Amino acid sequence: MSGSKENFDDVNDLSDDERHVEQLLAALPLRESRINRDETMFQAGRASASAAQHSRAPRLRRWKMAAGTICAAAAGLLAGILISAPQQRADVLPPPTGSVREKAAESPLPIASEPADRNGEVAVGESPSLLDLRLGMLRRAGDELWLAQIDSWAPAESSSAGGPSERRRPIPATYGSFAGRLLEAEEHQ
Amino acid sequence: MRFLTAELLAQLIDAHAAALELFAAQWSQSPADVVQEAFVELARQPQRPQNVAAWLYRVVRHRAYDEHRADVRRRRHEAAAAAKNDRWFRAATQGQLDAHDASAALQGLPEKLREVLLARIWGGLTFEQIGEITQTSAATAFRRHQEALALLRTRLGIPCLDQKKTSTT
Repeated sequence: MSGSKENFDDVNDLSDDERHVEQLLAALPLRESRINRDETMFQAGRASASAAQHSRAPRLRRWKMAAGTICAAAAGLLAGILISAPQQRADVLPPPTGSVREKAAESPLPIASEPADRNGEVAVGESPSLLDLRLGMLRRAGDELWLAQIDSWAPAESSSAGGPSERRRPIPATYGSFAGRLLEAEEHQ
Repeated sequence: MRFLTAELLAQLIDAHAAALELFAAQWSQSPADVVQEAFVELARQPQRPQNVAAWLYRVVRHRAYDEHRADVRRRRHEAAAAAKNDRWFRAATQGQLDAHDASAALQGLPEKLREVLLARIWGGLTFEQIGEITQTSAATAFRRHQEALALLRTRLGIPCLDQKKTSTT
């Protein structure tokens, strides 16, 4: 073979005797190959085609996974936007029109009574910004929940009608009390 | 075929198939099948190996080893061992060595020496490539090659060049 002859030239470490033995051996003619050439070509072509097909399948799977990930991320982002959107939209809603008391009278829902013991109420807090936010929400909402909160203030007002000392009693910072303040403000106007 | 065109495959078969069969015949009773499987495996490769010949020898060696380890085929190997000697070479018309004697001498070599010799002389691989295939260093492959040549010279009765010169004079 030509390759073996080239290698013989490259090797300088072999002695002359060893090279001689190599050349004698290399002169021995190999038996002709018994592999079926046509069948080998056919099998190789088929193997190559199937390997190419197999290599395409994982690529397609990778694309599908990437697309699925992107879709899931987009859906999550959209859900996050939708969840946060109602708070923003409340800011742009027009303020409720008409008297709050009229709305309370028109409401068909039963009026919830506030517990007699006001010490058991949960204070909203004293942070001005938080209070303003709550007040703004009450002013804008105008729904039944808001009216129910008004009612929780109403008994306190009726009970305070007995004496001026009770009327001036400081009202804890509850939703009902804020609604009461709102009503008072409207009445003054 | 990706990198392996039909023409290239045909060239590779012409250039290496016979030597690969000889290499595989050390272990396998069906070396042609082993070599064919190696070519088919080559067609499956997405990229061309750095050295195609060395790659083929490595694959043939692994497959022939696997086949040799199989119990069923080992029994067949034992049954056919006697009739195996003159299968490696054609009867030489011009060479100085007898094909049958050379086959017997080669098969009598230790396996580690024989595989280096076959890969070197008929495969045309470098000692670095043989070292990679046999998982040894190039120096070890070279040393084994020298040892195999020395053993063959003794067994085949090849005289030293100096002796030859003195006998002719």
